[in-house]
Amino acid sequence: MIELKNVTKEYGEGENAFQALKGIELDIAKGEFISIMGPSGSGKSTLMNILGALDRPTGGQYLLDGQDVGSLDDEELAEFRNKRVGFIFQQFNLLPRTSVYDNVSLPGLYGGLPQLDRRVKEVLEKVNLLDKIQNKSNQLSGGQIQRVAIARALVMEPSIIMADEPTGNLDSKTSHEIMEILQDLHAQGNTIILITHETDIASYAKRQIRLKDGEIFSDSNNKDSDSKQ
Amino acid sequence: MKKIRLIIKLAVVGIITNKVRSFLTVLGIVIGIAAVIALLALGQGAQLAISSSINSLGSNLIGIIPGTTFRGPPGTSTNAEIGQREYDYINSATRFPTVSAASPVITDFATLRGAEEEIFAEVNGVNSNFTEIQSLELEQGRFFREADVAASKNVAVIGPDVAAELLSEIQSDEILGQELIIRNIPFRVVGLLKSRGSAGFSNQDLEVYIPYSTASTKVFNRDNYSQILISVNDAKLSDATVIQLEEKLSAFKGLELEDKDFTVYTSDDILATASTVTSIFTTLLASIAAISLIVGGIGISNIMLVSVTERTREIGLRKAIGAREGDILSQFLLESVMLTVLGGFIGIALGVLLAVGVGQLAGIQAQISFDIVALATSISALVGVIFGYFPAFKAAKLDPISALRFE
Ligand SMILES: Nc1ncnc2c1ncn2[C@@H]1O[C@H](COP(=O)(O)OP(=O)(O)OP(=O)(O)O)[C@@H](O)[C@H]1O
Ligand SMILES: [Mg+2]
Repeated sequence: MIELKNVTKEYGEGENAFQALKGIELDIAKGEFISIMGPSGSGKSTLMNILGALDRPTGGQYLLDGQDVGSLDDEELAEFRNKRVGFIFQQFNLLPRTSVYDNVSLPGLYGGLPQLDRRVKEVLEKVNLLDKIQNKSNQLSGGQIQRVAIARALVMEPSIIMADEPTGNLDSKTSHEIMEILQDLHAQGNTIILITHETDIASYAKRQIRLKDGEIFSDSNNKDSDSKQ
Repeated sequence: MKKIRLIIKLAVVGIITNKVRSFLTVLGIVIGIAAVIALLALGQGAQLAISSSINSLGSNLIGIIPGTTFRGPPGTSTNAEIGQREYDYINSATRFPTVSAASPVITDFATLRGAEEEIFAEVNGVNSNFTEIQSLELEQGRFFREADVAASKNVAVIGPDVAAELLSEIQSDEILGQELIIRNIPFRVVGLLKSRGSAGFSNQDLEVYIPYSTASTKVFNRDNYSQILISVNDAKLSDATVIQLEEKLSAFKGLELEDKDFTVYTSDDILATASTVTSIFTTLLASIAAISLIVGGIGISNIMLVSVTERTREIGLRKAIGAREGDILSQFLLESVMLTVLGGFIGIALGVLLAVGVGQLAGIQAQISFDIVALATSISALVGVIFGYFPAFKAAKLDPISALRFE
């Protein structure tokens, strides 16, 4: 479903140019659960931004379902992010002073989703937060915030869910709760790409990719992940 | 629809959370709009008062005043004189068939004394047919008659405010026959006028009418008239009559038309002059309002730019979940319009208070119409759009990645 062909990303120009990604080759099939690990500065977020169409590669090709993402204009990229990708960030996931319901509705409002109300309640039920639906974002715990972010990522039924260190700010118990939700979503057939620093978080994923200095250093299947299910 | 509702909700939340800042931001708009409202309401009020007071003169009214510069009646003084000779000439029925009535007017201010009180008011010496020229209605008694004029009798017809000020202890049905001292000369009250209301700048109820013969020989001791007032049979004939009067009267005075030493005006002329004066006044105030609106708009621009910077991450997040440039643009535009319209509403309320307050002091009935309020609201919305556009555009163009990484 996802094909990256010799994707590069360069920041800056001339002498100050810095290659954050150096020719990434990557295929991801529908329904996969992938973790991307690597030291800080290795290019994980850069890669995810390209996969999520937040940024354009400097070189190479990115195909999603056969469509060349690099050829889309700004408007089409916005629609791509809205309909095909669901993002979960490490922090500042929610609009401040805004209710859970409104936060989760937002992608649907931008995308003009019919029967939004029903869908919002459906996804909030999935992350078990229906009882907090009217809470403002500052009336939630860190774990609850991440669950709202997951619900929002699900609203548009995207092709891929991308999580950039979703447990980076959480304690280990809450982290595992979040990971179990992601694992459930994977079991329901969602494609998930997870960025993390922590090996035990990465071990929830079936396939583990390691980046180093902008290159794929290893790409392996994880037998261990079955035991966690 | 839902999207708009959410955007409005978010904007309201933002405005409420930053109450003080929002208020300071819109202060310029508040002042500008208050000024707009106040000056329009007062301007329209003044205009209405002036035109109604002029209309109450009668629409088929013509006046002749001495001098060639139009200084406005009454009481224009100049070397060129108009007196009995000219009056008799105009008054001969055959000479000006369109003239239905004419009367001399000798206007001056004088001290009036009643039983105890003393006031200073306008006294008009006129002919007995004056009620045919100007619509004066009597509450009690009568206007003075031809015989009173012929005999230069000391009789007076007074306005209701004169009665109220000078003859307050007298029962209203005993006012007729009371004595009134004008410049130390005793007069007998023969009529009490109905109220005509205070119109704009002059109080029409505070006036006294006496026979012009008495005014000329006993009270003011002058032969020249302030003006001669004329009514025509038909308002349509007014312009033709003016031309006739100008031509014949100059010939009568032995002058070329272009050298004439008098001015013939109609009530329309006064109306036009008054309108020019009020519109100059209005333009002046409007420019002050415009300046404060521009200053207010710059304030809005500034605060919106601050808000865009503060909310860079929010904008990045919105873009990440699929907001298009147009979505962000319209959100910030709407916020700035809501701010300015809010300021506009406060300004409208303030302006109404101001207009009513100042109006009360100046004796003008402030006219607050739906049009004025709609205009003020549109202006404030327009200021929001114009001055909110650049910040909103900047927000819309933010790159999602740098916005998300912004610290
Ligand atoms: N806008 C930018 N301009 C210049 N260099 C950048 C920019 N964004 C990222 N980089 C550089 O690109 C490299 C990769 O950054 P990236 O954020 O992808 O790292 P990461 O693997 O996500 O690190 P971390 O684990 O700390 O989040 C880093 O060396 C970073 O300094
Ligand atoms: Mg990162």
